Formats: sequence, C-alpha cells, structure tokens
Amino acid sequence: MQSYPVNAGRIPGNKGIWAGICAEFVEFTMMFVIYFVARLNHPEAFKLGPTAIWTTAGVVNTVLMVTSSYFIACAVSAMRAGNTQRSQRWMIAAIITALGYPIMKFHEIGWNLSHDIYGTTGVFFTVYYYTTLNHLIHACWGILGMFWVLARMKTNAYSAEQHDGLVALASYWHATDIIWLIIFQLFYVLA
Amino acid sequence: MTKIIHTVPVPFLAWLGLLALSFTGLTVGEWFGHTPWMPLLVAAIIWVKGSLVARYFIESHTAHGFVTWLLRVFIAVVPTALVIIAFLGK
Repeated sequence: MQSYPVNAGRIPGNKGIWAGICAEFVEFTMMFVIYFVARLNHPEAFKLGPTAIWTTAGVVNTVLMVTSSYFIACAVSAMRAGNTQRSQRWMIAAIITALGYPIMKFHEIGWNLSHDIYGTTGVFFTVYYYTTLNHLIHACWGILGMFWVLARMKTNAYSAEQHDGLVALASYWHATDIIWLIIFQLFYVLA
Repeated sequence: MTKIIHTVPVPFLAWLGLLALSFTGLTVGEWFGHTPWMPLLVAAIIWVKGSLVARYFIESHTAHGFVTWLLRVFIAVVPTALVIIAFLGK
C-alpha cells in the first residue's frame, strides 16, 4: 500500500472540504457541549437513557460506518496505485455499506416510536434525537458525495496523479465516521 | 506471526481495531455501566478510535499542520470532558 511522505504538509482533498469539515466539527462540538450540560443537570436521565434505546441498531450502524470508511480508504489507495477499476469497485462497496446506515436508522426510529420513545419523552431522548438526526443528515450528504465521486470515476476524471475529489470525499466521510464513533460511545454505551 | 502481520494492509488492521474497540466498549459498558471509572474508559476508547481513523484512514501525519491540529483537538474534546466529569461531576 502506497502512502504519502511523512510531514508532506498536504491538504487531503482540497481546502474547501476542510472548511466544511471544520464547520462540521464546530457544529458537533456545540452538540456535545449541550450533551454534557444536559448530562450534568439530569444525571439520572442519562443513566437510564442508554438502557432504553435499541443498542443493536447502534452496533450495526457502527459496523456500517467503520466498514464504509475502510472501503473508501481502500478506494483512495487503489487510485493512488493507478488501479482505477479496483478503486471503483471499492467505492461501490463503500456506497452499498454506507446506504445501510440510513436504512438502519429508519428502522431504529421506527423501533423507538413503537416503544414510545419520542423527542419529548425526556431530556436524554431530546439530545439523542437532536444529535443523531443531525449526524444522519451529514451522512446523507456524504452518501450523495459518494455517488458523485463514482460518476466522476466512471468518466475517468481521476487518475493516480490527480484524484483530489476522491480524497476530499474520503476525508469528509472519515470525519463523519469519527463523529459517529463519539456518538455511539456517548448515547449507546455510557450509562 | 510477525511475517503475517507485515503482509496485512495497515488500514485493515485499523478497521479490525475499530471494531474490536467498539465491541469491547459495549461489553464492558454492559457489565460495569454505572461504575465511576466507566467515563474514563469511554474517554480512552473514543480517543484511540478517533486517532486510528485520523492516522490510518485520513493519514493525518502526512497532512498540513492545520489538518493535524484540527483532528487532534476535535478528537480530544469529548474525552477531556468525560475525564473532567469523572473527577468533578456529581
């Protein structure tokens, strides 16, 4: 697997996507601040909350997010090595895996509603819906980006020398993955 | 054994590590969910998982200093808050 030289000082993808990732990090930092303020003020609600939500959905979504992130890393690596066909196949695998995330989320919300878990059920659930639905929106943008990158791949827009668009999408998806990994620990694990 | 590890791509090992940490955190959470040290363990898991994604998927160590800094700070925010809560929060 080829890699960049250490301390190359490169911008992964392009400056625009990192402005977006910066904004995404600021947005979710604010949500995590809300989480901690609510947690400090309502410790009992945050102790019981994780036991009420569907843990399996959180686990499945974690596997899907991490795996799609890995597949995109493989797509970048294959493109960097000049193997565009292989890169496309990794991207298709990443899209299929990533699509499982909104599907699972849809089932999770259905499960919640059937168990009378609404945004108004309690402060834990308000913060849970607020944060996870926001993350779902960000993930959907990433999935749309994947389709765009795949379409660009099909028109041979990327090569081993120039594939900034692919790396930009990969950076965004990895950043969204990091946010999910934090959300999973806070809402599904930490009782 | 060392030879086998060297032939496996590093991102694949990172992916395995991320899954292992997720399941470990979940299992420990089920057993010791309400213990005082649980926030510290969750903080450590979040930090390691975030660092794995940044290092092996984004390859932040080869990136511009701002990107490296941004990722380090964001990944550290929630673990820091958890550590503060573990020691001060009531």
